[in-house]
Amino acid sequence: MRTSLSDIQQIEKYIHQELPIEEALVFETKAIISASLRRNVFWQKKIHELLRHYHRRKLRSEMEKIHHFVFHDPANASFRKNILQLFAPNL
Amino acid sequence: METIELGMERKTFVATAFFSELYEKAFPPVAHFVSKMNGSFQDAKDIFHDAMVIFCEKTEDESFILSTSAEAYVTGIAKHLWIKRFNRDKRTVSLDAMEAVIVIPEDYYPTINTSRLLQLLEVAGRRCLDLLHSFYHEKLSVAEIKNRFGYKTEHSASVQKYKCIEKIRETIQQKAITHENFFE
Repeated sequence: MRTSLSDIQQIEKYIHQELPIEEALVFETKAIISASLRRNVFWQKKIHELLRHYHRRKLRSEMEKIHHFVFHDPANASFRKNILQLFAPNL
Repeated sequence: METIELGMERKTFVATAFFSELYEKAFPPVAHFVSKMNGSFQDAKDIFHDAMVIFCEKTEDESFILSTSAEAYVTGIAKHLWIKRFNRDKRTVSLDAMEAVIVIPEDYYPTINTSRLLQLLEVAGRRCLDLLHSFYHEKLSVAEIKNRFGYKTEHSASVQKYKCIEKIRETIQQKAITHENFFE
């Protein structure tokens, strides 16, 4: 694996607190003197934040599928009616 | 206390009967609440879906302990979301002791810039997003990822994870450079 990918792997282990304490300390010392390493840690954390939101989007789209199923299944007609009645004045 | 068997279902939890059943049990109380607060059906649906997403996220955390029924917990989350989303005063929403201690993620609603960035990646880096999502959120094994994405070896699949991080990092760094104030 090339060096830049090994660096990413190392940052990943640091972010996920998977480095042994000695290695974590060495990593932090490197980060103090390397602006580029600090930047890369920042971006890698940002990627995880984006992935969290991507995960939420995926879950939400699953909820839409369940909603469609629940609200369009003839067996759930009374469920649907009861819910919609709550909002009758606002519909 | 309700016990949920989530361990083996975690990878496909939303597709399980559990979540479909929970949907039918938990939507009525949330709809009642939103209706009482003069919200619309669409408000109820949006808040409920967000509450279910947060509940799913919580169940993915192995340290999460559900100390009440799942539907009561989802309703509690929905009340917090109602307060957060519509900037309502907490005192206007009655929360019982269990509901009062529920914590919802601070960053649940993405900033405009985060949404834009995600949209960009969904167009320019969907495969990488999906691959990383499989690793970090679906928690698939390297062997499963190798099969899903068609890599010849598990080593290739593992290396691809880091290549994808590198590619996404370059894309979002570039975006930050061309839009100086992107991450303000």
